[in-house]
Amino acid sequence: MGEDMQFDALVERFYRPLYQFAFSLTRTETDACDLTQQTFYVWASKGHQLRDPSKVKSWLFTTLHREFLNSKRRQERFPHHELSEVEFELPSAAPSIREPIDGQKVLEALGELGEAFRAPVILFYLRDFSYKEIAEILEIPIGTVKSRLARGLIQLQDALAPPKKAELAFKKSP
Amino acid sequence: MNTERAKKVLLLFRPGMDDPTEPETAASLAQAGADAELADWAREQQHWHESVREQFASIEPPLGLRAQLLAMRPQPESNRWWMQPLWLALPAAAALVIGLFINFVATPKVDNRFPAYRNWMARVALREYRMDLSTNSLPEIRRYLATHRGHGDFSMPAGLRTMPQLGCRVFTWHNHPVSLICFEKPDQELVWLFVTQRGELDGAPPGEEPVFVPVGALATASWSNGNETYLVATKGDLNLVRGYF
Repeated sequence: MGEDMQFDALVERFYRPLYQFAFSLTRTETDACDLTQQTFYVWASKGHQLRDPSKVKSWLFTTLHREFLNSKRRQERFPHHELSEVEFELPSAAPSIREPIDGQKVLEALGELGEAFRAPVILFYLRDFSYKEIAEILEIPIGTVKSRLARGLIQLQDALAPPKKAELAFKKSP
Repeated sequence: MNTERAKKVLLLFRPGMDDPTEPETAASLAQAGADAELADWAREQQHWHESVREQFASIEPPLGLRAQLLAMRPQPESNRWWMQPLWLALPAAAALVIGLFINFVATPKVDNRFPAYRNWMARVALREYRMDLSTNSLPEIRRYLATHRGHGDFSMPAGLRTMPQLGCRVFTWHNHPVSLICFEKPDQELVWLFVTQRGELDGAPPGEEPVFVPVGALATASWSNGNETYLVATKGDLNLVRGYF
């Protein structure tokens, strides 16, 4: 019974942010439902192997991200760039937000981000993830998380604010 | 610290979430406190982040997903027959109970209730899968299933009998064989027919009267016939599936 209640409690607590993560990654409702269900199925099968309750959140999001990568049958590994290795210009100002940001446009802009940048940016905007947790979920070092985030956030602003493109241009490393 | 470096740090700083006393963050915040232009820049960035964050927070799961997930919960231990006091009291059964207990501990817990099966098969249909046999020949499909632990003598609702088959596959669900037969509709969308042993599922439909249930983007119908339980699924609404019967 306790196990039953634990499973229900986990669904209640995490299915929404897991779905939000999945939907942001896949941008389709069907795929997002599929990923969320697959994540809880894996939990139902293997969750009892997790000994540290404080790791449940990271475990679920890591599992979802792995399932996403598996579903894409990715062969390549993302190159790791440390923050110091990647030079880029920061925006002189954030894009104007006098007009409300459209959710669909945000998702479309996410789709334009490089694969390596998308997941860190999504986890940055979903609440309650420390950089340590994002690093655990994506199974990359914190330095890599920050470098990808910095580039990803600027790419996102770039995609959502075309008129400012010139201001956001990256400059190549010397 | 120069301004560009401070901006890089402040770009990633989330007030209320990240540690403001982390040395580089604290230095950047202090610098913004003394530099009005940098402070304005950081404020604009935070405003931007908050606006985007609201869009992520507004993503709503579809109705029904929560119920589907809850249906996947592991089976309660109290329902397991070998945990009943009567059995535990029988000395002759002790060795068997211990053996089963060890097996239970070593084996991932599974949910063999029909809703979990239906959800899982819906996922199988929507995910990439391979056919064991690609053919339009129904006799070949029956022969293949019969010789590969599948269900070669499966029956079909009237609406599927006129559809061309694309192939079949045999896979296992909780160590029990499931046959998948794939059909192609005139509009080139697919219809999936799953067949498994009725006795492997708790709460399988009791008879030949089909039960219609939407699962995500799929419409499903399920029924039992003899020793077998059938599940048909296709993209679309339930009226589409009702038309097959």
